[in-house]
Amino acid sequence: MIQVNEVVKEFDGYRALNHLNMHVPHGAIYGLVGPNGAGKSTIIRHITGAYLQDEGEVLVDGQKVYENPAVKEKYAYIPDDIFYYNQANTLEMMRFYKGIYKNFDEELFHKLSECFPAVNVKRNIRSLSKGMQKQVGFWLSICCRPELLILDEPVDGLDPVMRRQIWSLIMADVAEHGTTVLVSSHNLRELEDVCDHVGIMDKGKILIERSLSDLQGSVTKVQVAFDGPMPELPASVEILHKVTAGRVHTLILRGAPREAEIAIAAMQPLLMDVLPLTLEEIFIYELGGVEYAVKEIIF
Amino acid sequence: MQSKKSFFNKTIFKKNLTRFWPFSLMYGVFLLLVHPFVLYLNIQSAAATYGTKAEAQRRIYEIICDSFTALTEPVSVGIIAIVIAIAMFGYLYQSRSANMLHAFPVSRTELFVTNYLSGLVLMVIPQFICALFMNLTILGHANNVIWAVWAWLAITFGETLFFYGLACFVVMYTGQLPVAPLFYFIWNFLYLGVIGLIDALAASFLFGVNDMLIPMDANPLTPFIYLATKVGFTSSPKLTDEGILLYTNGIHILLVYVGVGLLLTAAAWYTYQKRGVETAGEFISIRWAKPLFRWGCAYVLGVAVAEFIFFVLGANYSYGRRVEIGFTIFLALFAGIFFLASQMFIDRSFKVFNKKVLRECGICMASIAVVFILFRTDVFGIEKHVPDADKIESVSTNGLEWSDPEDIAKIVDAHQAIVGDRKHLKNSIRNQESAWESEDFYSINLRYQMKNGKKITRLYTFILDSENEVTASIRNLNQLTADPDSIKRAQFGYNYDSAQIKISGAHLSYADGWVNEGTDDAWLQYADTNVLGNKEELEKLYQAVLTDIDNGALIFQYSFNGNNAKKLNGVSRYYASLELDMIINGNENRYVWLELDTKCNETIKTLVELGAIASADVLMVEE
Repeated sequence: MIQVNEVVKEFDGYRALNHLNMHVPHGAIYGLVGPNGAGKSTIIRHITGAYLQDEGEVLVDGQKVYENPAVKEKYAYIPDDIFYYNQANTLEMMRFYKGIYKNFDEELFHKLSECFPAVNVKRNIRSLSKGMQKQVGFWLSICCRPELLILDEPVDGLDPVMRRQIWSLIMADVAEHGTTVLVSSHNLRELEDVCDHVGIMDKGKILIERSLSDLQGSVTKVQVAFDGPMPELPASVEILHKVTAGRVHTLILRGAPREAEIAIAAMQPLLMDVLPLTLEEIFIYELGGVEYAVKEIIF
Repeated sequence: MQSKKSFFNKTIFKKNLTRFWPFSLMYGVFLLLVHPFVLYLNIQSAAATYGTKAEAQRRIYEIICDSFTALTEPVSVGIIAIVIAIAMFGYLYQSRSANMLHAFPVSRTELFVTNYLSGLVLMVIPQFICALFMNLTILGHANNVIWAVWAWLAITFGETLFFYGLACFVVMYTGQLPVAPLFYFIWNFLYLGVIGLIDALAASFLFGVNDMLIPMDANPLTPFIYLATKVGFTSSPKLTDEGILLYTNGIHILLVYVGVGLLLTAAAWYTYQKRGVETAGEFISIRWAKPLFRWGCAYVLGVAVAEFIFFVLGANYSYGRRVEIGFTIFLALFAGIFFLASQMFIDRSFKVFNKKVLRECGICMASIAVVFILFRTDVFGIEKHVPDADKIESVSTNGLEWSDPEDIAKIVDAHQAIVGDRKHLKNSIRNQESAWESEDFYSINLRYQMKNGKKITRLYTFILDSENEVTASIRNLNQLTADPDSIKRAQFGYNYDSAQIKISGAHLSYADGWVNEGTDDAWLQYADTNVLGNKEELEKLYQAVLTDIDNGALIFQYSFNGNNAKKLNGVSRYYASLELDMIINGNENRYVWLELDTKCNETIKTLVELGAIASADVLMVEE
């Protein structure tokens, strides 16, 4: 759905995006994670067509986004700082969105009002709390019936109940319409439960970009005990991390769990157990040298 | 798939109108108050003041015609244009709005056209309503000039196209709200400012240039003033059989401005296409405008401040080389300061002292110093320029005017001689205080009216300390200024001999003694008296003045030599001036001031006869 190829963007000599490559498949929920200043919002603004890159290309459905209203019609964008006209209330903004987006579903708007009981549609958006303003943003964006939903730090400032509600709305939309979602966050844990693809970004580059299933199949955590010292592992098994407590060794191995299990079983251990890894652990071990960046995004 | 090209978005258009109608309303109220409402009040006042219906109708008609000739819209149009342009495109100044509006499925062209048209509508609707009310106001009073109401609307619309185009262009390359009106003002008055600085610089450092080198007349590059003075309505001076006739004037000028306005609109559209959304909040949003701004600031503000300091210190070319070197250093220094200051505005940071900026700043400082040195050494030929006698229509010197080719040739010769000896002459008044006291101090004011309509003015002050070519030329000029006919023409009009001249009043002002005499701060005390007399007596006074002119008694005020004229009789002179109030050909008022001296026997004798003074001694003041 989204292809970002070798994109470079400089602001007064500062390179904010440095030959960035990123690929979001159709129907994916893609989490873009990175510390503050990594360039998440900058690349999102390129994908929305607000910014023009200095080099490279940004394609949505194979078409350039910049100055292409036909492509822009396909997505809805919810920025970190929600846009509204100063004097406008939710109803007026709904009418504005309806005029701008051909696919805007007014019926859905009224139907969804049950999901946002706290929002007074006749009250100036300016006078609503930040959380409520975000809710208005979601409400309007979902009603645009987008093929692609672009969310920049979407649930920042929302209480846990509203966060859950917003995510469930997004998941329902994805399930019902196959909407592709690109969501940025500086919090990996926030995205862990909802994303099926993750890209980690730092200093204007995507460091790693994988589907969750690929990630889960690429690193294995094994607890193993031997009668005596641990024998040499075969060359096909790469140890990323090892902790020893008495005779029990906890190993983080590169490779699929099944392959690791077969390789270690051949060494006749006294005890062997393959354990699940959290997304956080996977990234820490995958990124190794750039661990510092990951630390900043998982608290 | 590229979308079908769209140039207009109804939703955004409606949103603009519903958001910004209060600006339109305020502008409309202003127009209604200033035009139809004031006109209505004047009409009602005239109707109540004049007794007969016919007289009132005539006066109302005159009021209506006068109101059209006084209509000048550029200022109000100019102000509302920048306000509306900022309102329409203000989203570009705020990152949140700029990012979102450009993420909507709307192209920049569509946004530009929609916003531009919205703004135009917000301005034109109040103008149209105002025209409608003006029409209703004058209906029945001056039906034959109703066309002028709609002509006014068309003129105002033309001015709107120009100012709105300029405002949109300015908004497109600025990134902050307060910066746009600042640049808009600068563009409207930049020409005047730059010309003023060049004039001041020339007056300070070029010999003979102490008036406006480039006349600060209304200039097309100062649209506020130019449109107000050149475009509008004129009327025939008197009622004709068909009533006062109204004419539009300057329509061709307006059309040029409309063309420029449309070009500026196109430039604004192009700039919008190139503008990065990320520049919201920056001082200047377009890359090419940044060096223009810092170099412009360095040159204009550098010259202005250096000039101001030297003005305060009272320095000019007559102080010699040291002052010129000092000025060059000041100029470069202030240019550098303003260069860096403008860079700080551009970068929104005080940290601008990097190699690249400092190198450019150094180039700028060196360039302004070089330009000034070229200017000072008269590489541009201003100082040595003497107009070609064949191209001169007329020339006036020290208040007298000549158009005879022979006279013009004599003046041009003298001018040439002065210019040829300028190095020597400008050094002659290095010490100004003693120069004013010198008996050989000369002051020659030349004003050429060229055949092509241009004017050239020069003022030379110097001391003639040796017999040379200049001395001979000045002697020729002195002969010209002693010519009674020239003096009469200068004082009483070019056709004084054939015109009917009636003296309606006379007024004498003279020094009647010293206050604090003998001390350092002594000053002359003046007495004023009206010269009373009937028509014949005042006519006699006028004839006495003419006789004195014929006798060569009233020449010193035209003399090039200031001090010799003041020291008639060696020890004393009159500090007296006579004002004659004249009516020429029954319809032109003229006021003439004559400085009397001890040779004005006929005039003084008549003043004594009329009882204005007791005797000639009253006018005598001891030096």
